[in-house]
Amino acid sequence: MSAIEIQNLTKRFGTVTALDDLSFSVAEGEVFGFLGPNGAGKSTTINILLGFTRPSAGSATVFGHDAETESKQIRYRTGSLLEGYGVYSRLTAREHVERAANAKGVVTDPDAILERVGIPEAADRRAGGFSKGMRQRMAIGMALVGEPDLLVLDEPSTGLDPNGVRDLREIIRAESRRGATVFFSSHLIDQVEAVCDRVGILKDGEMVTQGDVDDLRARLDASVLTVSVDSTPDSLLGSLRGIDGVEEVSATDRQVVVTARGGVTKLRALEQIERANVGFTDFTTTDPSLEEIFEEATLGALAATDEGGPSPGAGSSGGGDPGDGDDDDSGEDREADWSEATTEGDA
Amino acid sequence: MSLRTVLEDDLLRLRRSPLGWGVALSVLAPTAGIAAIVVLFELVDVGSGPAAPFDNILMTVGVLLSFLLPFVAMLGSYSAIVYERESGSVRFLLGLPNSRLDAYAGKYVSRTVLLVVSLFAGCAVLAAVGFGLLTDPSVVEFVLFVLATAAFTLVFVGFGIAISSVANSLIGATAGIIGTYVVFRGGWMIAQYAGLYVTRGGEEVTARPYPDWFFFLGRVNPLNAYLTVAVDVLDRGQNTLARQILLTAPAPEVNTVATGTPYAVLALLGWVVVVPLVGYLLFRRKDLL
Repeated sequence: MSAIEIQNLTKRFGTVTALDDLSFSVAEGEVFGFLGPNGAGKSTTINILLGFTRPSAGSATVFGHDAETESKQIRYRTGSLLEGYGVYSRLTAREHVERAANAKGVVTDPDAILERVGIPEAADRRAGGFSKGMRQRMAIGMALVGEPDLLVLDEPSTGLDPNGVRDLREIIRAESRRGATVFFSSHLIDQVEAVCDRVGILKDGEMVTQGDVDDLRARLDASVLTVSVDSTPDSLLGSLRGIDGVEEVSATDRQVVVTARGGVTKLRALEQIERANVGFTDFTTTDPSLEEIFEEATLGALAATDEGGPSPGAGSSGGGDPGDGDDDDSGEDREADWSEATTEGDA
Repeated sequence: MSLRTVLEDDLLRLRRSPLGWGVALSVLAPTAGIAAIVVLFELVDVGSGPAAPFDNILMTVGVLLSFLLPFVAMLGSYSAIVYERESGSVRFLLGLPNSRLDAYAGKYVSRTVLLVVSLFAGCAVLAAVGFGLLTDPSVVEFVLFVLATAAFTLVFVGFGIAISSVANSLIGATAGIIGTYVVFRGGWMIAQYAGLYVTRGGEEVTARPYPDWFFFLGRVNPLNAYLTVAVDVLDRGQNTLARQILLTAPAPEVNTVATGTPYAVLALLGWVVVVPLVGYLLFRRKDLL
């Protein structure tokens, strides 16, 4: 069974369409990277999955439970870390973790959780005085309470220092080994690439591509061939540009860099360089990074070629995400609001 | 268990917050505070004559509470949900397996406990003074007065929670409770007289007797309903000064149902039930993020 199943999901905020006929699924035990530029609709999707926002059309299920009508059952099995959360400034870190355990009806050792996320010394301190990183670690700890079957992490590295980001990666890997499904939403591609089995790229409320990272690389089919030579005459560069499938050619004194689609194209380029008798010494090829895949997908080249087929929605897709705001540029502003708010009190 | 979790968490945070203590003191001031003033007067006037009747003191307290309690009760509850949305902690509240009903009811009960426990504490002090020092105390009247005041409190806790659940910002919720207070304190009466203006014409607006609907409408207002109950309980059928000042006197031919205690009690209980219910029905479908 799929851990997450989203079918023809649409969400409109007034005249703006934040999600447009979105369909995808996440298998149980998978670490799924949910990528997208700011305002793509990532947080709106998560908000619908967890019952904060009601869909305009379509359905979302988690472990077979409908997100709209069986949200509580979903959240029993889910640990979530949502961007833009605020802590209860008058509760201690231990009380936050205990609160999560009470709500889930599980017995847990708050100190062990806080130890795991690296803030054991903060157990009896009120969260209102925490740094951003400590709050984030505490929130990760709350998400881990009860060994959830699904972890929903929305920009989980926000506020973490490099050590914190590394710890987070370790936690995600450990949870995955335990059998948990991880839904990792971020616009930080390197972090997604480091932990995810599969990624989906969202743009303007539509899934423009999804699949294994390696599959996406293969589908993008453009890699960089770097050839070390003794000289780089203009005539060679001109002939390389004439090869079908070569997208870009550049050169330094002793290197020719060819961006090419397909292995045959690269072979022809190598042959051309060899024939030019320019002192060929070595070559390397570099596959496209996830960042390049992301750029291609969100700029259009890879759009509508995913394994699920093109999104059938057409026309008035949104380009805005007014309902969540979590993945837009207002994140910092909201953080400031939240920080201010948490100093004012809980009630 | 979830409702209980929300309730306990909210009470814990109220206990640690200035708002919780401020609201409690605002309820204690016109109850225990009045009792303390009465004790002071009795100590000063000792031997100079009979002590004041307890009913008179309760009436004074009732009038004070009719002005203060609506606002204090809404102040103690208006931020309960909207603050969580504004600060972001709603992502914990409803990211954990708490249903919206758990969250709504837990907050409602929590704020009710804050207000009603404060009220009962203040009334306990009043009772100690009334039954110990003052004349002609009645247990039945006192209990009925306290119950009516508790119901009156619940009405406005309900308004506060309902407004908190549908507002999108603290500023909006603040405007909501101020607007609610203004409507019941002045707007309601204006609506009654506007009705007279429309049905009678400009020159006949204040001519007595007022029609039945004027009283049916007027005593649905929870402020008027509470005062009707309080006065009926405490004045023992006398046309006391309090009754003359606080309530519009009906002509003899006016429908007695509209001006009777049962109608006022029903109005109070209606508000107690309907307001939080409507608030929840709106909250249940609302996009919270």
